[in-house]
Amino acid sequence: MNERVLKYLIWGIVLLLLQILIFKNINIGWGDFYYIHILVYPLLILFLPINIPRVYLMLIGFGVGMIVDLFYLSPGIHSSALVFLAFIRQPLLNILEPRGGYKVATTPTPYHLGLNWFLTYAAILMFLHHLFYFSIEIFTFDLMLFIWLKTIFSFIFSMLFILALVLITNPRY
Amino acid sequence: MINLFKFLVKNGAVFVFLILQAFCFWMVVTFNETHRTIFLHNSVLVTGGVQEKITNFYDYWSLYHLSDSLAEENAQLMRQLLVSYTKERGYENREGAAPDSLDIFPAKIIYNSITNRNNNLLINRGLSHGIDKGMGVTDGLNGLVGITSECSEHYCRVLSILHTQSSISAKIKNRGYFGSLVWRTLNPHLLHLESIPIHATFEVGDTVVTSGYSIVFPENLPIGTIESKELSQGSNFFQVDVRLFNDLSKAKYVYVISDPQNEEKRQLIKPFMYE
Repeated sequence: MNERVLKYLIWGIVLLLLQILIFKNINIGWGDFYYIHILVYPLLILFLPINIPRVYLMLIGFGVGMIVDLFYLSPGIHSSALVFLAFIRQPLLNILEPRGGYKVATTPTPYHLGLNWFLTYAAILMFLHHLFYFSIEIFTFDLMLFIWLKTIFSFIFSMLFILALVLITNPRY
Repeated sequence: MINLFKFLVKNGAVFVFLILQAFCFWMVVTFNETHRTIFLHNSVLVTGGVQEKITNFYDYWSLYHLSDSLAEENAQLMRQLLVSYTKERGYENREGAAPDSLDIFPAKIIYNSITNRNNNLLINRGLSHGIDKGMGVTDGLNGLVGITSECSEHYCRVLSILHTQSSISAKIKNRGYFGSLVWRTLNPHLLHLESIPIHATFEVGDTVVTSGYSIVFPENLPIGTIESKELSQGSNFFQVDVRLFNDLSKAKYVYVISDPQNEEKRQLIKPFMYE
């Protein structure tokens, strides 16, 4: 149990460092506007154990969000998005439950549940998370077009990087 | 306490979600400039309408005091205006001339009548407020109300201009012809301007103002307009009807004009005074 927590924490710190040091500075776009913002830290919430109570899930999400906010200098935006992510993770897991139930696996990783399943799970959550995050970041409805553009392009790139990370490291806890 | 916490963990997901989101929202709106501006702008749009209705409601209850303070302010302004009217004649530069100044007191009418042959009013200011008998009472700068006739400590009786004994010295504005303004009909809007000589030139519609030839009212206070002028056979004077500017049935706040030099003037004019 402790070993798992430790492994998770190391994985978490590495992920956050990657996000803050590398991915924060990638703001690619074309024309005048920057459409691509890569966010990989939601993976942290995605990899938490399946049976964890929702309240703890949200509190952890809030904490991680605050840390990211600290470095992005945008108090509250990332936290809000992660709390939302944590809130909808549980109902989604219930919907995506494979026929046999989650019995063996206790964390929703591709090692336990298969890459296909994981991709579905991650894609849905990441897309919703990005949508929520960019909506809060822009905060107005007149720039709706930008919200959708940012969501779609950032989503594509975030997914690519998450896929890469997961395939390379393949966490087993 | 621990039980409460356990209960919250088990069933309170939505609740915790809402609390955390509210907290995050507060942080977003407080610490990010663009978000703050957008939020404040939109919240003002929403609360603006609600606020207006609320203040309208509360304002209604303070109208009583508001109108009192407005009457005071009006009195101050009137005082300055009337002093400037008299100063225009240029008398302040003459050696030994009496200083021109007026005191104006706002008051409220607490008793009124317009339907009798002789009408009187009661106002809620008296001797203790600095008012004495023989002072002119006007309805702001809209018209005349009367002349104070008797005063007690806190109240004053005013001889309304709608009184057969009332006689105001009035002139036709810019023409110079002056006469006495009296009330002979029972119509609360029409008065007669007597003693306008037959050779006077003026027209229906001209304004009638106070002449300044009295110790009661300063010059050029508006009274009304000429409604008709008639010349009857064998008379040397016109019959001029004057329609008042102000409606005495609706008068509420009035202003009492007091001239500090009145006593001095009254002593000289006493043998000739009409009252």
